[in-house]
Amino acid sequence: MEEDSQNKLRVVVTGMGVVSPVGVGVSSFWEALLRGDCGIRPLRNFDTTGFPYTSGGEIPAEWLKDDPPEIAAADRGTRFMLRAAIEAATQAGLATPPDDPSSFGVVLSTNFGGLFSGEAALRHMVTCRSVERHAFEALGFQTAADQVARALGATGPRVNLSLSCASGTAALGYAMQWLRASRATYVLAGGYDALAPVAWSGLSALRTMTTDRVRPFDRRRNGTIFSEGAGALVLELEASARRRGAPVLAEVVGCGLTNNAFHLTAPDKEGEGLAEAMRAALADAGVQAHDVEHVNAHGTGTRYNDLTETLAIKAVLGRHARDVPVTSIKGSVGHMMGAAGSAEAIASVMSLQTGVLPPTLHYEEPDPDCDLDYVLQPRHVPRLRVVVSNSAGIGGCNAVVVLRRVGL
Amino acid sequence: MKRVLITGLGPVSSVGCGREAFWQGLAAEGCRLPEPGQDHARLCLGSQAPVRLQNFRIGDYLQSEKPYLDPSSAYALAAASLAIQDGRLDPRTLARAGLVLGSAFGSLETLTRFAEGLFTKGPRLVKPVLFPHAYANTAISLVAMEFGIRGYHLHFASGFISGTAALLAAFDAIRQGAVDVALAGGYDAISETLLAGWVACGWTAPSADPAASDPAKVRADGLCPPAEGAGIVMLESREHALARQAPIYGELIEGALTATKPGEASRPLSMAIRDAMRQALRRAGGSPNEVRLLSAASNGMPAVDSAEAEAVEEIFGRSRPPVVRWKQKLGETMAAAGPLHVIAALGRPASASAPHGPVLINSVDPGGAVGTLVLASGGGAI
Repeated sequence: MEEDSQNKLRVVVTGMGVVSPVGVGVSSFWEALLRGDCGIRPLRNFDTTGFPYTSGGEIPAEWLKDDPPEIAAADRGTRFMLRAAIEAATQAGLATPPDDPSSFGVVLSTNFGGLFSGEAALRHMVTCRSVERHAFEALGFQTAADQVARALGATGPRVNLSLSCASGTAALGYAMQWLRASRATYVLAGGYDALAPVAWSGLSALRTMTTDRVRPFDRRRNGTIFSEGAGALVLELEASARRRGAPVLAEVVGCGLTNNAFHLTAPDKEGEGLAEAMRAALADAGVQAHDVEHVNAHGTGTRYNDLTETLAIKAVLGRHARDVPVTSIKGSVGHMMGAAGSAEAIASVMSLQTGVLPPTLHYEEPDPDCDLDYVLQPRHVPRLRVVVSNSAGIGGCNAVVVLRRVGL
Repeated sequence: MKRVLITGLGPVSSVGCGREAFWQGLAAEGCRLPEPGQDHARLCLGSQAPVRLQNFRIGDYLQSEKPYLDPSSAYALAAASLAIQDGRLDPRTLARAGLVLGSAFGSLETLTRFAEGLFTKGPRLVKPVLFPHAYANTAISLVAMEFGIRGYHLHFASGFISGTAALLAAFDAIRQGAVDVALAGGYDAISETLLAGWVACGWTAPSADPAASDPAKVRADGLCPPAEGAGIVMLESREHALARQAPIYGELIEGALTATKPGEASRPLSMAIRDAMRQALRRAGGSPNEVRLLSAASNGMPAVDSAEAEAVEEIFGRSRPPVVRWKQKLGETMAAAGPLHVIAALGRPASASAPHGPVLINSVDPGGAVGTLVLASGGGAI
């Protein structure tokens, strides 16, 4: 059927690509998650002298050494996004543009855009009160979307969003909205971010990081650790995917976007904003709370987020909440910021494909206030059908997507 | 298919803040909407100096004091305040309303200030209070907090088409049932870094150029200077608007987003603009000969102007509608342009004899992304 029971056009995932601190490429990424690898390492890409935090989820230089020149020349965050986008498009059979390239849209989303390169513009301004064109263009977020579109030969609608750490999930939801409105046939939806001195300095100043490990939902958790990378998913109308024989990996059935309207940096105390986003996503998907079988949590490892997210999950799923296994992959990959939601969606699709849930790392002491069923070892759920993936960000934004196994 | 009405207007601009002041400011000095068959006379701002908001005080729009605001956030807050008041939306409804905004350069002034602290004093002496105000989505978050807007929430950082994309996203969200009413628009602020960037990109002359600041001199190239401001409108499903007896200014009928293949010359940009107008009209169920007014994206950048002129010729041929270039009065307001031009188009027509019919609003980003909106003004919309 082209439409679901709510008469909405069905949207599926036909390709995925990822650059993460535990591996480049979906296979490497997934295998690393299941092994329990941790991608937090001393930062080498910029001088951390004087910074309070000196370890993060940095992509090692040797993983990027084979990048072709046109990718290597791009801004660091754009470079990750290009790698992920090309992998996703290749899997989707869109490595060469479709017959009608204007049907191929691009939605990217990020916290800091091209700030890694754009910092040069800011340095120049501080010292010389002028900027160099290339560095200034990097500060404009749309540049990355332009470059990804060029690489893919896509001339459809092209935008960049910015919803802090809810960015990647929001890109998926907005891409789905485009497809339902028939504004594109294929959409590359992605999230990305790179670690750069200005961003790292600001993130350090927020006092949400830890010098310990990231321990989502653990009683001793005391912060997150920020990372870099990119995640890309090709979304397409199911009818189109079936017609051209594209791989159909999962269905994106619903999305909810909200704002806490509470505080720039702190979540609302009861998690109501995130709960509303979850409810909106489930309603959009036509899925009942008792049908949810797994939550891929935002789970940053901060005291406040993990508590309020637990409250939100309980508020939405009710008594069913304790039967739903919950995972956060941030113990493994750190907090990938704009890429977090994209990477977590990819992990959710892999869970639907394989029936395996990745573990939540570094969980050693239960917190009585975070008392859900956290996945601590890879767990087999052979008939997994419905996954909810949560994201939240600075400024109080929340984005939730609901993914479903295809063929149901 | 749900119809989406425009039920509140919040312009913040150099010619006026608030609906009536904005319309009167545009009507002054020859910016009236053209008569049928009349092309809008080429005006020039008379100066290439950046167009800043004079005498703007955020306290005129908000009840609470803010210890710190990036100027872009201040303009967005002011425009939201104006749109909410104009649309007479009550707080309970606001709580579940949507909020979709966009900005080309966001909080660039605050980002520069924060970075300056890092570069000059080192990582341990940065000012933490600045960083949360330096995010691209800071302004939309502050608007949500200020007015308690918790529903559908999305922010665009898509260059000059950001505001147009925001309106279209809110439109689709309402059509698809995610929300009944939404504030949508764009905003941008002038900063030293932005001006330096415009000079580096060749979009404006260095400030040392005498012609840039002498109002008596008109530059031959007619480049519109950068301008700051914000435009936010209230979009609402027809059912919801009628039920609460909302003021109705017009209807957002449809829109389209297209793009070039980056790096190619102006011909592909003209094709992208042509395709955006064509798609938007097709989706709206209209045809070129019905269009009563075209709001141009042209801003004096040769690639944009020539591409748009070519696209207009291709779509309309001899039946070209009157074309208005509000940027020649407002300057290039970047992400705010699309929404401000929507508000301008909904102003009173120059004469009672002006025909009804759809209005096209074009937006073009120098990187090649294009957006077109199709409007109907209040009289014939409902």
